Amino acid sequence: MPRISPLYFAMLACGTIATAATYVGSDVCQKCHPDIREQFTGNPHFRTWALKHEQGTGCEGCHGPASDHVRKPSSRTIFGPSAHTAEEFTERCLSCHGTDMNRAAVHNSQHTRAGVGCTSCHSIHQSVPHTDLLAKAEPGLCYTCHPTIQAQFSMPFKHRVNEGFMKCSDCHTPHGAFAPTWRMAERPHMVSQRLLNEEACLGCHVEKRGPFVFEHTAVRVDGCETCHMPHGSPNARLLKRPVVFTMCLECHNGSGSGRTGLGMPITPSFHNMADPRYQNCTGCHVRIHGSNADAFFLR
Amino acid sequence: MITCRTICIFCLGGMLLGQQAVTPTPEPTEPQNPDKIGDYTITQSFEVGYRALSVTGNDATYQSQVNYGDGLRLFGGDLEASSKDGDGLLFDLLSLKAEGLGNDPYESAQFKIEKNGWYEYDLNWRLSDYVNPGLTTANGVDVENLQHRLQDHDLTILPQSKISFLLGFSRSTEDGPALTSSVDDALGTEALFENVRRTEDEYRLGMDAKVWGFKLSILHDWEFFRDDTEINQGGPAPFTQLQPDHGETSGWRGFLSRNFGSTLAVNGRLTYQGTGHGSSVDEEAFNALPSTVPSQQVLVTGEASRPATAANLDVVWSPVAKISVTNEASFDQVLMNGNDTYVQFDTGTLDSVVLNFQLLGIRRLSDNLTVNYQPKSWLGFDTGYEISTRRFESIAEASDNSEPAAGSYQQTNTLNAGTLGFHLRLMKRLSVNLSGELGHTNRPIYPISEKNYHTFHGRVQYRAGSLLVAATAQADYNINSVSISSFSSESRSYGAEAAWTPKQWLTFDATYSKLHLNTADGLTYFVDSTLITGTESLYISNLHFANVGVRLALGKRADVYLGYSRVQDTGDGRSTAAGDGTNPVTAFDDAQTYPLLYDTPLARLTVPLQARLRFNVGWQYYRYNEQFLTIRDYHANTAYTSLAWSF
Repeated sequence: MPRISPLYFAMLACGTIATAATYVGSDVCQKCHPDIREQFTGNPHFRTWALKHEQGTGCEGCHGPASDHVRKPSSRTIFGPSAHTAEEFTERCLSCHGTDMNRAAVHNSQHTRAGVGCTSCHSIHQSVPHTDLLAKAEPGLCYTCHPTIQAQFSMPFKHRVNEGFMKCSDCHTPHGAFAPTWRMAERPHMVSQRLLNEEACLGCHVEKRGPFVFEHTAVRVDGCETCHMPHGSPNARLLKRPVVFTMCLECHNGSGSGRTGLGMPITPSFHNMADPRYQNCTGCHVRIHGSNADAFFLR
Repeated sequence: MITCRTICIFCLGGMLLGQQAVTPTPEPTEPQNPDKIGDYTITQSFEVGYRALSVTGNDATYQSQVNYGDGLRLFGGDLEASSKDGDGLLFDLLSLKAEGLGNDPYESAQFKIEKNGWYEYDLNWRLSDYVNPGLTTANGVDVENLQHRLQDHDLTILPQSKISFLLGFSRSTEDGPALTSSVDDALGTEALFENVRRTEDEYRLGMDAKVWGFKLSILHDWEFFRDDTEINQGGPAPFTQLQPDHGETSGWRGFLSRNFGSTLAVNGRLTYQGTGHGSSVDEEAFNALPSTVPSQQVLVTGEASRPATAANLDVVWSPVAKISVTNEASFDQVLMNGNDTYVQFDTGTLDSVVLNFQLLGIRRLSDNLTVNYQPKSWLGFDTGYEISTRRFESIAEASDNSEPAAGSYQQTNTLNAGTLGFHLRLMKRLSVNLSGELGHTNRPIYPISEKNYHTFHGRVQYRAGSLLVAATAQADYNINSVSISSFSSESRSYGAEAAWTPKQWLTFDATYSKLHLNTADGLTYFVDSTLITGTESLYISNLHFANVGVRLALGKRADVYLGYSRVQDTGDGRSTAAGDGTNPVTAFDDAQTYPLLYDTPLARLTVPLQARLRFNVGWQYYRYNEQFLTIRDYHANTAYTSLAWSF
């Protein structure tokens, strides 16, 4: 019989030698972790336990075969958060969710590129809002890394995210999205597309979808952000400027190429811009997003 | 073992980061001791109370920005029933959550029921009751509530099977006063508010299939839009628009993805949607603008359509664990055409204008290649290159060349951009992310579009136990030199945040952000029929935002939360609106800057009366001050008291 060195047992105990661990079943796990088992009821991952489709579901579906851990309870003998990186966790999650969540989309997302892994946002055992296993409820979860966005949603005029009417994920796809179909497709990243391939804003602001007989080209070519700040703004209607004509004239000054190649049309001569009547452009051009009845968006 | 209370406190600490509205009360009634009925575990909690309000100053602006009112309401409700072993008779999870029902301007309810392996049903209902900021000038008016309701239903049959089926329905309705296309010349060409009635219905039918390692998703949807707003304005400038405005969109979406082990993943999409618009408009109107034309009849008949196609193919290749190569190719095309004809008959001159439907086509093709290299578990780099070309074509056929956009025009714009990123992670506590992008487009369509731009983004985060400290910086610069004038914009934002839970009974969090924006653009406009050129529009905004909060648990007797949020635009530092008087239009004088202050302190006390019953009382103050124009300023005190119980 070959002699086994004591060093082998020492290394085995330290977890530096991998052994062919086997599955023991979740019932074994709950003998030492009854609290986690109790919290697991109602958890979406409980399905992998309850359905019992195949070996390796339940606790071991994520943590891997646990026979070594049973013999030597230690963080080194089981796949867990203390010994693995966010990327390794993401890969572990994608071993099951790679099809549903789409591995290519996740890898291509700005979150993954910035080192934000699944467990950065999701709490597998202790999800508080019980919604998608999020570690915290939106928008607080997103604000943790995006304080400047929190600032925008705290402006006097904003989409009602802090008030609970909307969530960040109403417009954004945190797991990665396809290239936008507006602007030059370079930005924004991770924005949901409404009605198959439209800008997310049109999901709620449906009356601006058109098509219109007279389109305001800015809306179609470069998107809503040409004039609006989508999260929040100190200006009414989420506009980029508090006084509307100062914003309109930044484009309508004869420069650029515009829709006809002659430059952006300037205002006609009877628009006396020193007269307050003409400084409120949308007071007359009320159908500024597009009109079926007037080329100048008056009706 | 971490106790339930500890978990709740740590979670609350995190929730404070996003806390803005004082209600609903986040402190749970505890200990939560779920009831067990049959094979189900049931938890319930409700918070019901009264909200009070006092406003001084411009009440309409308060309603436009905040809009909480008086009255009794359900601040929050939560019911959840889950089967103990995931093998319930009819369902395994039933969940109902509600917020603000009864009287709040922002109400929502979510309902979910599912049976493992058989079905999942989700319902999401929301209502936003808000006052329109009527005009976009700083001294505009705010009037009357518009209600926007949204509901979404999604049913998945056989959700965990290889083939599952999806049915969905969504409805969006707007009802109430809103700006319409009606303009009253007698009031100085102010846009009028009418009672709008808009409805959008969307139906979805689809399936997911997982076969031979592929995931295939197919979805067909139909969307119907209807605007039944009636405009029948009398008076000196009568305007009539009685016919409804209908639109319809139907489309197909197909997804196909496949993972080839952990080295190669492919994700593709092809969508098509055809939007039809029965744009039959028959209206009579007096021209509201100063013009020689006293009245017009406009008739638009025919069908407009907007077919839109998009295709994407994402490929991720990881030859070794340290390297991944991502290529994202996309194509999309939008075409607006149809057989619409626009006829405008001027009763004063007996002239008519006939315009066939304008065509606007946009076609874009782009490709983005990114390489990620992670030589060490704590060190990573990424670099990418993107090329995108967009062509748009515009055609209009008009009998009168005075119409804008007559004739045809084509233009192609090409973007070349490069990105570079650096990621460092030390001891799992300290992480540093830096990234930048440099891009150029050769023919931007607008003076403000990106032409020569670069961006920078950086974030440093340190996390140790319950302490989180992070700082973020982002800068975006664009210079667009076009014919006649040039445009430049600088946007810089900085943010810092800290959250700390030194003790179970004490939590701090603080956030500070500064958003700086300045733009400079050439101006051309008329003053008293004289063309003004060569002046510049200079806009400067320096927005500071701070949010601090502290939560204190006084043993088991009470929880206290104190918070303060402040938004301040300091503009360019001037104390008066007037500039140097060199520009004929005051708003363009020197620099456009509009300092304002908007802050909201809040306090909340919550006292456990019993294990499952809490008494809550809170106060939140809102202050809005514009430095140069005070007509919209207001101060508001809101308070609430409520009972929250669980059982």
